[in-house]
Amino acid sequence: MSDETRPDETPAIFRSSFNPERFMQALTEEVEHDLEWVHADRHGVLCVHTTLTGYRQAAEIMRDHGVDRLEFLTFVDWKDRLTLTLQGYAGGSGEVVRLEADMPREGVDAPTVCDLWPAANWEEREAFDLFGVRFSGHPDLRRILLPEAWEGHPLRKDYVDNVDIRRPQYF
Amino acid sequence: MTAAHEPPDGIPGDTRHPERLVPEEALGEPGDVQDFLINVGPHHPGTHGVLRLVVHLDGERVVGLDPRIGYMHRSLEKIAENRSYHQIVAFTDRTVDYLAAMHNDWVYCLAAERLIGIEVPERAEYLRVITGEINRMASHFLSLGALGMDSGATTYFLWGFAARERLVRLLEELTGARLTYVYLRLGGVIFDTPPGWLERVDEVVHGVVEEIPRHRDLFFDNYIWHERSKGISVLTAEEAIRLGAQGPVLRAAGVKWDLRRDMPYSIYDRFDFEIPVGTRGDIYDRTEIRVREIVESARIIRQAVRDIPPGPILAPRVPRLPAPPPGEAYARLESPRGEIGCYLVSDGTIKPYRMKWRGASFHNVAMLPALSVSYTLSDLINIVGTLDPVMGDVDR
Repeated sequence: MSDETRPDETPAIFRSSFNPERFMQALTEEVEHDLEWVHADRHGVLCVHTTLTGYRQAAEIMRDHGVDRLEFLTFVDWKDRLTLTLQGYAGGSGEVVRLEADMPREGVDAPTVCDLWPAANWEEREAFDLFGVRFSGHPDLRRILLPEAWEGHPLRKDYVDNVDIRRPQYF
Repeated sequence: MTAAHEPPDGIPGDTRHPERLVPEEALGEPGDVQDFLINVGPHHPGTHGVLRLVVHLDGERVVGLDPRIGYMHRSLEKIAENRSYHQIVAFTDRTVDYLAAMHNDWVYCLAAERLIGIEVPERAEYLRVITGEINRMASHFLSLGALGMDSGATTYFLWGFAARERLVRLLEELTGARLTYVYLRLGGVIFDTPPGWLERVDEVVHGVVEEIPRHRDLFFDNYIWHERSKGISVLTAEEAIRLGAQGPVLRAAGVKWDLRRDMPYSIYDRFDFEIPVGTRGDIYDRTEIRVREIVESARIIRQAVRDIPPGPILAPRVPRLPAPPPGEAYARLESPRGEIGCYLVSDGTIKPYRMKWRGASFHNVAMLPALSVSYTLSDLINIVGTLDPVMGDVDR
């Protein structure tokens, strides 16, 4: 912990800084038809929207282009579909990328990304626990926050809470 | 404890000390002792809350570990779908990381303000920085004190709490609460400073930092602590990034990454402060990082107290029931435990359609198997202590 061994800048162990043009080029070339749209949202986050088939490949491209910090992985339940959302940033430059893929609410598994980011392991277990979507290829898909015997997946919009139905309604 | 004191210079660095109190031979070779499967927790003082560790032991050595979480799951994300944007502030500081309540309120307010489009007045930003950094110091002192307790230095536990007490009293004077402050509002903060408060902040923070050499004498430079911490749970920088280490754990591994400097939020780009980094990533470095961060937080507080402008503390005309346009917003900040984040999705109504909370402790506890395998059971307690998990942040 001596002063002379302290690195002064963000170390090179972060992958080389993220290049949006090269990233976009790789996306359009490799994901092709599965790439639905790309836009920067009003807070400057690069949003990539793919189909579920292209999701895994787009995640690999993100990883290979330097997005080495996974922030979160979750679903948004839009009642007619689920949106799988993954966000990470490049440790070298701080560019944020959000990857989204729509999927049907029932009967389809999502591909895992926890071999790309080990931090996704627990995030995917949590998403499975609360939304009931299985991740194919996940090494250890168990419930994580709720007991094994819990019925239903609470963050789905159609979840009925049988434990306390007399909850006060504020609105 | 002081009898065995020896200056830190005389202690060899990055490998286990040759004269360790437990000799290597006594630990046995893998396979020649029968296996144990034991539960540590969920109610165990060394697990800092209701964390249950299913530990697979070979004699004294950990060969496998399965953290079981969820004992304190209160489903903040589901609750938030049923509350208005203003009401959620009261949940974020007690449901998630309650030892850094200011930071959790802050990250929620940042996300919601981005979503709704509220500008925060200058003075409120300074007050957020001051209270946030005081909270960071208090949180680090509690973490260090609890670590002293875990490793047998019960006296230091009380010292850590005594230092924290002085900081918490400052926050109590300002907000009326000692733990769950609910001080932040969308668009600013709720109370302006009482008369003379800023001077007292300067004085107390200065006094606490002046005492740190005594803390070092008692605990951090102590021979026993060096013996128990150096070379334990070593984490390289590459591994730390790959596994997703957060906050002090990441910086102890030698990665100079702090959101306050690298992705500045609020007004942190105006302050001059250092980001301490370690070299080995063992539990000694993680502790050292926290001690140094306390000093840096005090530097930020002193600059903020010096520069704070007069003016309003709440943005004018924040709607009572904001209904932001459909869209999403994400905010992240550096809490004492690492990067926390809040992802808000609006569908145009007065309640958030979806809120996703990203906890730093959740990611750190997920690394626990990688950090603790091949070390001993008594080291495991210290490893958990230096990750500083708050189970509210893990289980949400």
